[in-house]
Amino acid sequence: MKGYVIALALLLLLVAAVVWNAAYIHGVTEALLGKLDSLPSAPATDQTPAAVKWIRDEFDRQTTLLQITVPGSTIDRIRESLCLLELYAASGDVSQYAAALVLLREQVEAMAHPEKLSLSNIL
Amino acid sequence: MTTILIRTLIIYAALIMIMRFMGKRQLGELEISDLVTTLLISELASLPLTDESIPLSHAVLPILVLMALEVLLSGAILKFPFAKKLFSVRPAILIRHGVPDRTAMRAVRVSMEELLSQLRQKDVTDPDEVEYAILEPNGQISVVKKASRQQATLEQLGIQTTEAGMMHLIVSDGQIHRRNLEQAGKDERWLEAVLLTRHCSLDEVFLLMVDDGDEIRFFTKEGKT
Repeated sequence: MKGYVIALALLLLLVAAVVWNAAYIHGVTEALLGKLDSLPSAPATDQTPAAVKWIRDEFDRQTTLLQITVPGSTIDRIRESLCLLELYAASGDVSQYAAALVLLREQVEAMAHPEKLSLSNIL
Repeated sequence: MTTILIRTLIIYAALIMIMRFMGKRQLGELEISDLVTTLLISELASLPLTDESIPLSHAVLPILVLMALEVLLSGAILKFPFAKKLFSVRPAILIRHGVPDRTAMRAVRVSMEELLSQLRQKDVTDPDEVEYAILEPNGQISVVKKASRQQATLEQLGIQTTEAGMMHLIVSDGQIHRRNLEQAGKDERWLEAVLLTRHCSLDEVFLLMVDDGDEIRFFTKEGKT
């Protein structure tokens, strides 16, 4: 009987961990998207590269925890896109900056995609 | 992780049902849920080993979920008859009173050649010798021979016997197995007395065993008995 209780408790604990993890990743994604929304659509000011760098540093601080459940390749892609965005923000190349921003948004959204409870995801 | 959790539950349930309908012959020595869990765990464990980009949690989570499901399912099978019916296979009688049951054999997809082969492994060459041959849930075939074909026991022959019970390992390579000593109903004073009568110290003993009838097997490291 004790074994079954432990197994049931373990199962419930795992479900709780999965739910918490999904909420955490959604939180990180939403926060990151919010910060990206606050960036100007064109790198008009000198402050834009610094703002992107701040976003990159903030994301780097989260990666230790994220790496537990998010594949390394997903995190690497986001980090790479943040570096590119910072580079284009510094160079002042409007079209490249805009394209990098769109790509980054997609990659950040992709990080939370597996946590969305949808039939297409499960199948 | 959410997707992985739900996928694990779906795959586990699907494999259990598939194995259930595939029948007993696929199982070997394992119960259905044991086999499914073993198959899945071995595959899951290898994933993060071969691909560094896959987080360990992607293997650890499903493995723990499978482990918990396995324990809960085995408990449910013991407690609830409907679960036993759903997840566990029942024994099938393939030979009854010396006559092979063709319908039962077809249902579990066992051919006559396979059945005869299994019987030969049980030292039976003629199905007529068999009262019952039963395909067990673990895939093994149990054979109950007809009374007239069974070997006579010492009791039937009227020969008096004494129960020797099992041999308990008391000392191996100079080390005392205290739990076995206790199980054999002996103590260290008894052991000292045995060693004294054999003119031998504990360090010199390679093997000392005793059965329930106090029969002793004794070997020193030099091979003396």
